[in-house]
Amino acid sequence: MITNDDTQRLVTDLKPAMLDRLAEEGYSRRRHDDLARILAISPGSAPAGNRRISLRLSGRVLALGITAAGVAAAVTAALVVQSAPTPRHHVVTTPVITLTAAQRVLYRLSSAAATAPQTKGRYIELTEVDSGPSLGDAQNQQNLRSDLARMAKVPAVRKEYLAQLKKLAEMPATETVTQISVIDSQTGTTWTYQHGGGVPSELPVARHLSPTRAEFATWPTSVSALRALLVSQARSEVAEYPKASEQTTSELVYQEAFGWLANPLISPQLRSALYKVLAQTPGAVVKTGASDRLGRPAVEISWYDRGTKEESATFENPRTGTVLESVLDDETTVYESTTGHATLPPNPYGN
Amino acid sequence: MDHPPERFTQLYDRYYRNVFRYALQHAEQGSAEDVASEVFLITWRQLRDVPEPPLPWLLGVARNLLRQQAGADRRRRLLTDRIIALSGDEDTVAWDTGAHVVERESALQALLSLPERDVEALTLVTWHGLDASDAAEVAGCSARAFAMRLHRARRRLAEALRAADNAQRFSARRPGGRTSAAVSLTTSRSMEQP
Repeated sequence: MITNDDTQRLVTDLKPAMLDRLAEEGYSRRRHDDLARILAISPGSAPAGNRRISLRLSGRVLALGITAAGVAAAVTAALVVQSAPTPRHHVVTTPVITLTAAQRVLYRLSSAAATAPQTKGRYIELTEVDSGPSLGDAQNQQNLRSDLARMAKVPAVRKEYLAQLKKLAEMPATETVTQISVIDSQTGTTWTYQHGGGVPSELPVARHLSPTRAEFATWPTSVSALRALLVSQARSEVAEYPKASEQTTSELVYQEAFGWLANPLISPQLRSALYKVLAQTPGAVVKTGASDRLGRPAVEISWYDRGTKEESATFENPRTGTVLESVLDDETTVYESTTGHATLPPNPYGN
Repeated sequence: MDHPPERFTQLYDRYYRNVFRYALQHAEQGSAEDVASEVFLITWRQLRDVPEPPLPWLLGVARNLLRQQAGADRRRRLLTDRIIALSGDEDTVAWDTGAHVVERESALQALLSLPERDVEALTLVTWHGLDASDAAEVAGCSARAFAMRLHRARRRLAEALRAADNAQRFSARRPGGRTSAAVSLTTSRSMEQP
């Protein structure tokens, strides 16, 4: 007869001794870097929402932010989310059309997307220009100095903070970074090359960052099934992005759908279906006859997310349904071009 | 919370090993380190909301992150592979010095023959040192549901161990000696108790 105590003792004894040893080694190896990177971010700050929108690769972006970008990038990311909102250059003004008219516009985008060509080639190169407040922004400086005062008792990070503060005086108030993401459509692995703003010219390769073309092809294109998938995806992110629990279903749908719409690997059919889902999701303001920062004609879709307290807007190409520009509070991403390659293009900013 | 960095550093120092150990059980070392770091990044961002005691909450976040990385089938394979990969000679030696009636390999195979949920319930309260109430929080269910889950897991493990024991006796009588534990378990289910 095997009792509960027997099974309990037996499972306890099956615990591999290596677990404790590896845990101890991992702690010693990671402690300094983890504390330096994490404490460089203001407590209570959310992940950089702009990155969630730009490629909708958020499942790995957080990990990438920790392990790849280093202290400097972590500080930059922190500043993106901690600075006070400033007025957007794209203020939604009249004419604001009614919901029914908004739905008609979204259905037109759906039709346009369905017939737009998809970029060919295994490697898809997406060039975007990200702009927002830099380390030199007054609010960010104040936040950093406040952090430093609080962290003066943490020796592991104090030195690095002092070094960051020293650079502040030389920095402009706003920062623009051109970023080229090359996505392998067969594996989702992404290479990121950057220029401007003092950022490294290349980030470590992020494996399986995006769903592949084949994976996107398995997604439903019926409105109800796709909507359910989007809501399910958003809710599964609660661990990573806790504010999702405070968002309405419509807000979750908008957040997810616009994230995916910016991904160049999705098929015309899926892009078309996403617009149909949006057409049946109330809450957005749709404005025709708008233009993006580069002056390209656009449909502007904006909404305020009460759950995350973030104001978002995207500018869509009316002829193809592709995203031209996305704005999240005071962070803007302009998508300049998307091109396909048979082989992996080199880093244009590398030495 | 007067000094968030100090509080966070204390949490990190006290619980990193627990979180990393849990992640190691479910993911390869590199991924486990990333998950542990993500858990503490989330902890920092939500420092005001981290409950007391913090460990169930921390492991719950780790569990959610790990579940995002792999589907159910892959999780099941990963869990099995990880536990086998983490088990070494030192475990065998330690096992041999204990008063066990079954071989370690058979016991390990019996544990790994259980559904993922059972293995999780059993290891949360043994390897990770949680009581049933805290383990329920990690597993995302009520304490009552977890108690039932644990009870069933123990019962299924006892059945698997009995089957393994029968198979050992059966194979010992056969020319050619032992079969693999996995085959043994399958074979033994059709046998009667000796």
